[in-house]
Amino acid sequence: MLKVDNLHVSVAGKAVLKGLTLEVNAGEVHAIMGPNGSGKSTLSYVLAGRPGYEVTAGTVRYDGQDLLALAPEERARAGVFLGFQYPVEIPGVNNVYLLKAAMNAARKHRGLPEVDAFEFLTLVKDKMKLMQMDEAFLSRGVNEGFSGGEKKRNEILQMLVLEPKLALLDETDSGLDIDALKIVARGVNTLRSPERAVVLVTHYQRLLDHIVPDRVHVLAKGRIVRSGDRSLALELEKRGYDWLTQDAA
Amino acid sequence: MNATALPTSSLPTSRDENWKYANLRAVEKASARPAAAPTAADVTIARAALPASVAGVSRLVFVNGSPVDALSDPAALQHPAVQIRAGNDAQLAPTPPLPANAAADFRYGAVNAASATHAVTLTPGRDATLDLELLFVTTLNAADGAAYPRLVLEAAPNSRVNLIERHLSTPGITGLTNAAARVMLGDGSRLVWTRIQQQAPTAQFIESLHVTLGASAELALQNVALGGQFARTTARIELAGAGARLALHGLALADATRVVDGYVHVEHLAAHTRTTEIFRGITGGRGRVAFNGHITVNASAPQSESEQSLRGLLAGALCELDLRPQLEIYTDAVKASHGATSGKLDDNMMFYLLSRGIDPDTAQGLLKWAFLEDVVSQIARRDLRSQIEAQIAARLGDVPVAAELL
Repeated sequence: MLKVDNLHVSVAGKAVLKGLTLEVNAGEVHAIMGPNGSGKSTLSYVLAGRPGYEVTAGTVRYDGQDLLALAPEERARAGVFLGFQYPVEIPGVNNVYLLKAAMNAARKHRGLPEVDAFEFLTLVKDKMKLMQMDEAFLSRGVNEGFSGGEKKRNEILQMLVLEPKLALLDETDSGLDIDALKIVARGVNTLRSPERAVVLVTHYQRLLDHIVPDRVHVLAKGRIVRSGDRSLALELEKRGYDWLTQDAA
Repeated sequence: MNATALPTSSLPTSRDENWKYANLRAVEKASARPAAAPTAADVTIARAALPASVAGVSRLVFVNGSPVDALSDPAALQHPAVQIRAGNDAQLAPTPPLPANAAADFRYGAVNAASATHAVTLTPGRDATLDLELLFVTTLNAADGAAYPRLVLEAAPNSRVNLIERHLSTPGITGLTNAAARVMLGDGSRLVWTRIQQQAPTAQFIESLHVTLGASAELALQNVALGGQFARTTARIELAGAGARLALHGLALADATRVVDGYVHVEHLAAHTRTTEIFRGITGGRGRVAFNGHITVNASAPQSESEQSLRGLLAGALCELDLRPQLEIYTDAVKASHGATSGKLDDNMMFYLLSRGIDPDTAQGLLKWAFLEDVVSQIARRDLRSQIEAQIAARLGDVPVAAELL
């Protein structure tokens, strides 16, 4: 589904990703771990199409097409979802409007009519229950006045409503207490299916107790320096990253 | 008496400090002669420009500065607190003069006083309630003379007034409107004043507002400036009685080569007075939005509070924003905060919306809309707010977005 080959990316003239290669198949959950500044967030952003990230070499294929040739909104409509590490607040644009506009944009892309208002609200309320969110959130501005944990839950709610094929979750676990972490993990797990893939970017193994990955990769100095199964995350928890980043130097 | 009573040499120019962003050339070229009474044809085309009535509010309609009974509601015409009189200010009861330091900014207001052919005077009595809409429509081109809408409101103590004031025009007109209002709020009275200027983008519009608040009087003023090739609001608001309160929410849009300019001077003159001033402006094309929010807390106004937030959004590369917060304090024990920010659409917000599949035009429209929310949300009447939102949407050019939001 996603094939990243020898990806080099610069931000403000500084090379951040330096030959990253990664393949994620449908039905898989991959965890990307690594020390601060290793390029984890850059990878998420560049896949989602954030301006300011310059691809200097390499390719990214998604579902057989050149992902990098698509505008951010086209990537989203094609089923790529980015769960932000720091979701922005947008006072004045309410959550329910954003959800509906986003859902209809994706439906239009697939040649489907706009979602029926009643069906839409039923669906959203259903997903909100799963995420243990108060319905009052719907009429509030996007992330406006939300706590850190509420923002993350709102990201997962959006993901559940939009049902992406490829979810990139950038440190969705940061700032969550253990109860919120479980709720978020449950949300992500409900999305797991043979047609979908999830890439989790995280610092900590604790998220992987709740969302069990098929593959774990260590990103250091802009490249994947080690890949393995779930046991790699446990090893990192014990040993830290130093033993791997020294190899990468 | 007419406009020539005041020599044009005494009118402000862009060399005057509080007028430096004004574009007065076209104003000076337009005929300042008071327009003739509207013809039947004028009334017919003015009628087409009128918005739907606001539920429960009767209206008075003026065309080119003259009252038109045929377009007004009998309930408004017959209301004991409403009077429409022919004549200029000197022929009617002259309004008290402005302090010397303010007179320079009110020279267009003085022209209005001398040139107005009619004045609408509102005098709600003690404890009375008045709900009224004033609609001023112009059909004038630059050579046709000018319209001089004139409003005098004297609210008796403890009265409650909800006033909607709209300035409209027929499409494509180039004439001048020079409007003025003198508002005196008695002790304990409350005025909710929703003003919208939505003249054609080719019109010239100047207005002068002078408001005095008595003890514990309250003014909630929403000022929405959308139209005009050049539009200028000059306001002086005096918090003259102890405990008087002002909540001012202003909004201005300027695209193409339009200029929308505002100068609002709030004078805290008595103790325990409070001001909240919020302004939001969006400019695009080669447009310019200027707003000078001048607040003076005098020595006579201890324990006063003032809070000011001016924000502007540049929606193009060649447009201009000039926001000027100006705070002068002459007493201790004052709480005052002020801030002004100008910027482009927030890149992070933009990317967030795009990453959800929303197209760039819709995302821009949404963010502009959200930016104005602080002001628009203050308009309490739902049907009126919907009308104003539709106007804003049309002027922003984001009609499809707004249609879904409304």
